[in-house]
Amino acid sequence: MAHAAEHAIEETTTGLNHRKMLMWVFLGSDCMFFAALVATYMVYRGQSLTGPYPIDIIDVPITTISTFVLLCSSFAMVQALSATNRDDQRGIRIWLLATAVLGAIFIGFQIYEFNHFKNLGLTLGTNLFGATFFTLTGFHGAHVTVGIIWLLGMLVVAMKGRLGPASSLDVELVGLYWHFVDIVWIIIFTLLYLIAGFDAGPAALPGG
Amino acid sequence: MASITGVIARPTGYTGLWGWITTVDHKRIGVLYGVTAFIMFLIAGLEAGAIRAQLAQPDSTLIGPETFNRLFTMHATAMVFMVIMPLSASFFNFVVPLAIGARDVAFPRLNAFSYWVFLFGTLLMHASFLVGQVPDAGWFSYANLTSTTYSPNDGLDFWALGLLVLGVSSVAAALNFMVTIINMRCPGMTMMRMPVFIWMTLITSILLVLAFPVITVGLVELVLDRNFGTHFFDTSGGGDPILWQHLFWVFGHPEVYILILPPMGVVSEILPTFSRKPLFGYPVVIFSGIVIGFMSWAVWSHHMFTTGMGPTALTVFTITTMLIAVPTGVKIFNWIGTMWGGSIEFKTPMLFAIGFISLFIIGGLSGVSHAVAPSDFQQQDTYYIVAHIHYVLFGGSIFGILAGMYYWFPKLTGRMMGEGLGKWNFWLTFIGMNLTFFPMHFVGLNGMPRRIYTYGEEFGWGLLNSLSSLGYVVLFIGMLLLVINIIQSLRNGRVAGHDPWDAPTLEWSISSPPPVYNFAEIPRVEGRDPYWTTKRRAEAAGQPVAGPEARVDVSTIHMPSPSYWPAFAAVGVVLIAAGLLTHYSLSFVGGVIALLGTIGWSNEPATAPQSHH
Amino acid sequence: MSSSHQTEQSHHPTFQQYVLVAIILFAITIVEFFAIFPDPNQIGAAKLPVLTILSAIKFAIVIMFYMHLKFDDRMFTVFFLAGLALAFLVGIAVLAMFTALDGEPRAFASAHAVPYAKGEHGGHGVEHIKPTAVPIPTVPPAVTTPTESAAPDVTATTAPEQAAEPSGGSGAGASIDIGTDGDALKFSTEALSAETGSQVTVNFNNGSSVNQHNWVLVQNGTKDAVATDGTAAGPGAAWVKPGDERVIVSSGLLNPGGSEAVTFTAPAAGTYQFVCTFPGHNFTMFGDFTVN
Repeated sequence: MAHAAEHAIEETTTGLNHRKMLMWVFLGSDCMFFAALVATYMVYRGQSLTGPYPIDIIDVPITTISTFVLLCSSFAMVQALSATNRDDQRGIRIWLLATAVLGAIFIGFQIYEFNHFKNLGLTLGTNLFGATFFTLTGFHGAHVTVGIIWLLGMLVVAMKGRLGPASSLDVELVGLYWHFVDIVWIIIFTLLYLIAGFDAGPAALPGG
Repeated sequence: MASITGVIARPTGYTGLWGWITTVDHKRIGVLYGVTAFIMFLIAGLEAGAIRAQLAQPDSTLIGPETFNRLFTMHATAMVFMVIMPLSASFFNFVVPLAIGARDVAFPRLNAFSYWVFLFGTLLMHASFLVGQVPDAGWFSYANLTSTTYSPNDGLDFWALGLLVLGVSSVAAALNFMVTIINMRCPGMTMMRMPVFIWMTLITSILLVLAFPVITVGLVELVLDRNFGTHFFDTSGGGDPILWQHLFWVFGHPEVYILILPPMGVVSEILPTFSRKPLFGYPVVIFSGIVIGFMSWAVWSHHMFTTGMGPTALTVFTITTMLIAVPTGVKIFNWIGTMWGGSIEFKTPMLFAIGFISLFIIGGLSGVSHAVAPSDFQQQDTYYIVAHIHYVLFGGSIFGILAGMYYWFPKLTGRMMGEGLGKWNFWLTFIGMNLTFFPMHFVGLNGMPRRIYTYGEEFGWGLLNSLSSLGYVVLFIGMLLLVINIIQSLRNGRVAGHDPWDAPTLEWSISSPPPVYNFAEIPRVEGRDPYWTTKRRAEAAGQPVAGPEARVDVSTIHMPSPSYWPAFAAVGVVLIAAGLLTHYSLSFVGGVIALLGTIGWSNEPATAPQSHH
Repeated sequence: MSSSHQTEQSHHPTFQQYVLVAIILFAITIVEFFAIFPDPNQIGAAKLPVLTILSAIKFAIVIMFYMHLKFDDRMFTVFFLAGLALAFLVGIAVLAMFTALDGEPRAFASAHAVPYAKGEHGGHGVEHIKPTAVPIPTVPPAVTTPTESAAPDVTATTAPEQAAEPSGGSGAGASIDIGTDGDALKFSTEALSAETGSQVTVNFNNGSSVNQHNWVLVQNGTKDAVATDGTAAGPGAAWVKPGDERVIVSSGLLNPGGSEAVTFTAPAAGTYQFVCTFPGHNFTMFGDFTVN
């Protein structure tokens, strides 16, 4: 997103940049989106009529590793912004690439996980756990993927030497989006894995 | 970076069809929204006519049940999403930058993108007519009627995907206007000096960005249930149809305030102008709007009183719903206070504004009666609710929008709309509207359910239904006069000048139509109603109001250049949705187009080469 | 006029501070992991508050430091927190309405849940399990089911399509044609008759373009009750309760355009009804069957 040099700082009513404001409002809106998906998961928690249930499927150790990967990517993102502000051209490229690669590794974990669950008998249509789990984590993964594409686009611009302190806002914006996707994952990981990951099916066979 | 902008260079001119496709000028985008939405208004109005023709008599065989279901579904869906919302958007586009003293919105290309996505979404949903698979489950499409068992054809997929696309348009526009209003006000215009219409636009935009994500999730889950084997709303898989209702109405109730707040804003501009005195209680009106915005999140389950939610939920939502009537009532008293003691001119905009107040009061009263859960048990799903809806949305939103149309037409076109035809338009619409919808209160309380394609003679509803259908005829004539008035006024309406109404706000201080740059010199304001202040001071000093064009060399004003990327990217978005209805490969193509569009958009040079701006 | 907000990014955390934040994030995650692994209940009732608070801390420090919200203009905090707070409150409200305030949907789900044999912890070594819930048919099948009834000599056979011409019949080997009234929820005729003891063949053609229908002959006055029970029986039973004694004979569930011939011996003289028991159709889609 490299335009010609930005106008002198912010002749806006509040002194704040338009695009930064847009991004924060958008993130507030995205909170509602993920909240509705999480609410659907929580409403249907324990309501699946048939297995497999979370306890049979969820692999907390593996997902903890992928969580670490995503946290690392946020660290890399922050370094990319820092490098941009310092006009460290090599640093910009390395850290942008690192963020994208770590994001891609996270997606790799997700793909592996989804495939493994499918082999264990859990698909979108199997039961409510499948439906809510895949929809929520699937949309999160889609957000990560969009972020990776955006980062790669920024990397291309950086390779042409056109990212620097004058365009630090561009890096900051992708950073805000990226960190948001990370904190949504923090919520998903805690709820779906740490807390609800050990949910089992009903204990006894009912009369019906 | 000319290579990425592609073979076609960034446009520099404003002529012809290409000029309209590439425009990023908020005034033109406002026209695009307005024309498209007005055409949809006429189409949805004809659908209503078919409905009224069928219901005019008992045991009528004019229209079969299947067609009837499609008619009321498309009538309502179109009126809500493709008429009232885009008509309001047309006003946001045209008026907001002018009224806050800005030259355009914060993101002109995003603005254009919103329009094109709206247009394509509308076309997508109406493409269902071309393949004979029209949505027919009502505008709120309750589960599990919407499951493939009971709705086997693609109609509901058209509905869900069409709405998803329209949602993208609305959210993009709302984000744009939030940033514009907060961040592009002219010097001196603090938040508490903004015109009421701008405040209402801001609150509406906040509601939009927060509410649409919720229905997005609901629509996605519906599409998954219908096409990918999930059971979100299907009890045989453990799901609960009520979840759809919750997701829909958590969006749906803020949505109705999204529909009414902008017209309330319009009315709040018109009443002072034609009463020749400032709005009574400006801070209270603003505060009421904010309170309505907050409380709109707390009342949604009043649409679900009859679903067996239990006494706690019934009580809570009865109380919150009754409370939300209070700020609306406060606004009404302030509007009356504005007129009180004023020197009232009964021009057409004022007639529609006063009509708005009276009709919205009636709609509000029936609304308060629904708020009480036990009485809602009788009213729910009857024509009493249909009466309420139409008093608030037609008598409210549409009347407010028509008022705004007559008010700002001179600013947009430089010509006045005919006053004589305007008054005929008003009275026929007012009488027709009441004749159509007032009987519905009675016939609803007498038990006539909604969404039935006919009814037996023995129920005794025939006379009142005939009256309603007769009312439609009156409305039809009224609307016909409106169309004639618009056409005639465009051709040879009286020249308007820059300030035909002696109005208080900034948009009236520039020429009609405004120059492309709006203000030669960005104004500086010192209070509310800034243009009244300017004019009265000039009068008192015995001097004419100076035109800023005399002081500024307008050739130095730099406006954003047109761009084709917004329309291009919008094509990508709608193809993604259309592919889900046809072949997934189309979605892939759409995704590629959207991605290329985003890249082109980002890399476009800020100014077109050899541009004169 | 520009307000005097602090200039953007006047404070940048240092490299060391960013690393510190990263270390804290990792450390908290490790603590969370060991709080629930290998035994999810090892910290008992403290699990929920502990995990919630730890996650909230991670959430907050990413927002405040990595997203720089602590150092930026307060307006951004307002925007984000407004969205977050609303999301949280509405989410909790919806959840409460499902769990605390009305128990019915949960009771249904719990009553009909199928227990599942657990594998080893963590999901390893679990056999592949097929879903057992009743799937929603995406293409509703035309089900031909033999039905028991009160009268003897009842068979339901599938026959080639025939034109829908209403005609009365009498005597042995009577043939009655009946169809639908276009897409309306009505049969093409509302009165049929036959002679008692005669062999009757009802050729039912579903002329609707969108609706599934069936043709069910029932005892006098029982059409709505049969339809209600049929709804509970579900589409797999062609919307007729198996073994319903009020049903004399019924066709299968016909897709739009489908036809079926139902052959039976006309029961004792009297009045009967025929009805379509697809959910909701019984209110208008019925007629009288008079046996002389």
